[in-house]
Amino acid sequence: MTQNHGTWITGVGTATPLGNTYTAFADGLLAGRSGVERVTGFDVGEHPSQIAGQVHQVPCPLGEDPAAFARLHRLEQLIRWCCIGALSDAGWWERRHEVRVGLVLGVGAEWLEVWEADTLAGGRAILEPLDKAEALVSRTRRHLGLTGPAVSVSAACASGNYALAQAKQWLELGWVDLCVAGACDMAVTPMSLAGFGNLRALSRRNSDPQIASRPFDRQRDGFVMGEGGAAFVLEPAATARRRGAKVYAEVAGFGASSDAHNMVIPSPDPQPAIAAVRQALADAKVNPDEVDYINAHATSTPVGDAAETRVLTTVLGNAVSRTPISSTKSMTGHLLTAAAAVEALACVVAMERAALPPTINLFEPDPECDLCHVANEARPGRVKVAVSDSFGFGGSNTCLVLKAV
Amino acid sequence: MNPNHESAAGPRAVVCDLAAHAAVRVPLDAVAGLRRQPGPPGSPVLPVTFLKHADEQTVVGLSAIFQAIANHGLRDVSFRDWGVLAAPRFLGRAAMITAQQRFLAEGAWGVSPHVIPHRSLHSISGTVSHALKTNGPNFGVGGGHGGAVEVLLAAAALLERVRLPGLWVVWAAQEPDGAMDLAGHGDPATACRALAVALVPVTLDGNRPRLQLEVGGGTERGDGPFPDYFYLETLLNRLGTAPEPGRKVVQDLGAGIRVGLEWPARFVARTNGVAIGTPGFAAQGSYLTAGAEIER
Repeated sequence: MTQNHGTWITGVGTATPLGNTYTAFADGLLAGRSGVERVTGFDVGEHPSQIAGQVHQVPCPLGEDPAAFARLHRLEQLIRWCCIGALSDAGWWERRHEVRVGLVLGVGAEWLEVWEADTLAGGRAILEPLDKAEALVSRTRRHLGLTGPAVSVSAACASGNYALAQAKQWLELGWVDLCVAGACDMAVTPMSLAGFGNLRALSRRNSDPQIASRPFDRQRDGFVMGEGGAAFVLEPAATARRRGAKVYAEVAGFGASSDAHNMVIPSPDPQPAIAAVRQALADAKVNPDEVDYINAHATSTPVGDAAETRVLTTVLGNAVSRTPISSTKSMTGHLLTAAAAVEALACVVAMERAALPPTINLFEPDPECDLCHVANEARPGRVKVAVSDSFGFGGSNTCLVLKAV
Repeated sequence: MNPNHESAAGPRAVVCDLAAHAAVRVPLDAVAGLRRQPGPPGSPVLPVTFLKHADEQTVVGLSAIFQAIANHGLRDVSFRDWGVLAAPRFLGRAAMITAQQRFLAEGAWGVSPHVIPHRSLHSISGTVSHALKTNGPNFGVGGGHGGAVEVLLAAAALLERVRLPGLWVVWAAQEPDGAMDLAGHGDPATACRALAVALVPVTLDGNRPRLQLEVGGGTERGDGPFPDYFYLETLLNRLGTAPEPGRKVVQDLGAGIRVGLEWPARFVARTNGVAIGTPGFAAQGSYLTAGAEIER
């Protein structure tokens, strides 16, 4: 390890439908296990889609008062679990007061989720004056005793990539000594499941939850909602190297664009998304044929997966036939605001375990999605460069490049 | 991108120019008119249903942008490669109240599919991006009281990260955020308010206000109250509209963050010769305090 420049990931914290630790998540991914099941926790009898990948109970981090933790909204529980986990994993938790720690979180519908939970529990928070209402990112910063700036960002399902790019830039500007960045979402709620269902975006394969999320498969019929999150500790390479930190990956490149086409539907013109992926590769100084693994956005919708295939085919050129690609949403469901962060973590898993997570439920690949699929089972593979595409409502296209260190 | 960020050089300021700005404040019942025609005469014509499902804050935010374009002679500018950031405050509250009541009455089938696309944090930036046909990045920032500062941090970092010819930044809120009834109605005097600014690379012509954002070092908590949501509008008013080289106004935003506006003069000397003309650039050290009116 001789590199002295760049931004490195030195800690991770996560909770997903595959497990609430990095190890459980990695094991689940590489076992090709589905975390999708019939929704529990509320009545889904009238919902068009009744299945999701859920985090049933967010564990209480060490040092937190369990009773107070239990009273928090699930999204706040998740944010604390992921952030404290990442700082602890990086070895900074006990020393966080000695340095200026920033916080950048992808949180897309905080108020809608918090208000919904409150109202359904008989509360009136949404009706009361909001002069004193405090956003989760501010409360998390205060609760954790962080001293750097804190920001919430949202580009819907692309939020996590923006969060990591912002954090990297804050480090490069010298605004913070290290930064916790990631994204969390607990969107499997009665109204959210209904809203996406009524948008006709969700799979209605309610009788077969574990085979419902099937990106790139000819029989795909919509995405499956998921919930969870991931947080990363980013720090300058020199700092990490000096303290002998465990290093997961380098955040090497980022690209972003907008379709300017529709708030929900991906553009039929692939050029904006192509531009985002090319920007990211250029930022990372990586040629398309140097990419060892791509974690696709592929949500299992008929339109989106085919559109992404056109993007990747154009960007990769001849390399498309030999660059392994998978969509881990086949196992986790679509974690919406948290998707990009959790999929960046899937890339980290691929690097650390030297194994490529699969797209499960890929029984009959769609000819319109003719890619080099890692189908149904993980396979060994050394990953030095990983790419994660994430696109979102509002026309957002993003791409993140991670490099092994 | 500065590869030497691990050096002990200390934090840097990000500097850019304001090519345009405008503020809009309308009574809530006037939003319906803006929904059909958000801009002044001569603004781009949008399909009649374009803002049909948009939140009131989205409508007023887009209106502020169109007003800024008109006021500052940007109608012939292509925004294709620009980015858009927006910081709504409690976006979608009234709509969510009625959506909740309908859900409670009708169940799952009563939830409109438009709630999520149009009442999430990214909804204003996505709509503006669509309206202006911008292919640069777009995302939402904040969502609560702190969003007013958060969006400026995000904008500065984005300008540094991605080479953009310009960046629209929008602040939007309803005032006051008082009590509401189950129909989503609040104080009859409620207004919907937005500020839009166009940030562009620094230029030498000196006839545009220059914005400087500094994020200091130190590990003090700085948990003070948030500044007024439209602090930048106040700061623009204090700076004045007539160029006055060297005039500078600064606001302390808490937690070691400062924003300054100035009519530029002898800019190169004050930034230690750091190359200018880039889409935003970093300058080392603090120079906001010298000779400035500081609002705390």
